[in-house]
Amino acid sequence: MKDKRPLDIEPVLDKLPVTFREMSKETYGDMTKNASRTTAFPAYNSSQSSCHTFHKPISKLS
Amino acid sequence: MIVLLSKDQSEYSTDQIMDWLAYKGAPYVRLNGEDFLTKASYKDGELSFSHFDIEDVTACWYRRSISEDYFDTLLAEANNSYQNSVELKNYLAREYKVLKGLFFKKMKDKHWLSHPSETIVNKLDVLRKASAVGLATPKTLVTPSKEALLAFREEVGPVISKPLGELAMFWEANRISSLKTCLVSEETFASLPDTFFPTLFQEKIEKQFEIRAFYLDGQYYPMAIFSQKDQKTAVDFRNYNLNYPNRTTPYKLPDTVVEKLNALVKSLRLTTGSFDLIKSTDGRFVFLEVNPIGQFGMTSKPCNYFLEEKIADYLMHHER
Repeated sequence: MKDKRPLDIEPVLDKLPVTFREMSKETYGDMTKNASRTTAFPAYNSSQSSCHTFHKPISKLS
Repeated sequence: MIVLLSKDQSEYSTDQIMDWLAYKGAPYVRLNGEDFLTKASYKDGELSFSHFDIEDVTACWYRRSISEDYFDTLLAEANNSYQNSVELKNYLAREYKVLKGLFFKKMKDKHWLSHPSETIVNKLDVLRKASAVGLATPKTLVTPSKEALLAFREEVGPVISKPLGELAMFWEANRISSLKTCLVSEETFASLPDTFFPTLFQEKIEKQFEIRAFYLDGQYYPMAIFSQKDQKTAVDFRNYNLNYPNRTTPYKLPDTVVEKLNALVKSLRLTTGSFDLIKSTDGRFVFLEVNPIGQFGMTSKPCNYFLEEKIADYLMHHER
């Protein structure tokens, strides 16, 4: 299982690119609303037909 | 036979290309990143795969390679020191790269969309070349110095910051933090140390809308993205508002811009790519960056471009 410890950058923020100070944060709940974002969540990366917006690809039909 | 190199079995865009190839009766095979670990072998000087004959290959579509965290997942159950964990992962990745590299060498004379060597671009070099061919580009600074940054802000006004390389995402138990293009806030300016890790800054361009244009075989398929109408997406449309998605429409680029993009394509030796531009409030078309892999899915469906079919046709009709 992936290590999901909180991201800890505060102690080293001054040594990182400035971009880290403006990092965007999204909860899993916000991201799962869009089923086409298949890269983010393993559950949506399966070949379940509900994961595809329009149709199940022919190549995935049994 | 057309080989479709995909990250893994879940790559949906590969499914769609396969559908069109199957519909048009073109022989193809899917080669996922992990297939190099389970289906490849090398003997007596020859590389082979268990699920297709490499001698039948005539064209290749390079979509993606194995994900970088694949070996993390493979080694997840081991409990090693950080140093040894990193070395284990890096070792497996290096071994994997040798096999994959052999395939790329063997296939180098086949037709590619795109060959992996085309997919590595340096953002700063691209900006320089874009400017050289006459495209408008944002004023840009890369610096580790607060003093230099403040002088830049004095010169250009509001400043955005973005990664020098690719975007980054950091996973936590219930949240994903990501590095994208962002407006540097007054709070950040006030809290900056005198020096920091070199960071890319650019002038903030006031947008009418953004444009993502997919390029393939001499043609552009642009889409206008009205990201400025939503505060969440105003600086970077990739800060997607999933409740109220940005309005998107097909868009025709002016011929003058197309000519310059063509010159940039030639300079970068690209066969495909996704170009990001801004139509500014003062009427300019400002070039931001190019993704040489080419994110076609987000423009294909909203604009009815049927890019998946065009890619399939390109692969079929450029076989050697």
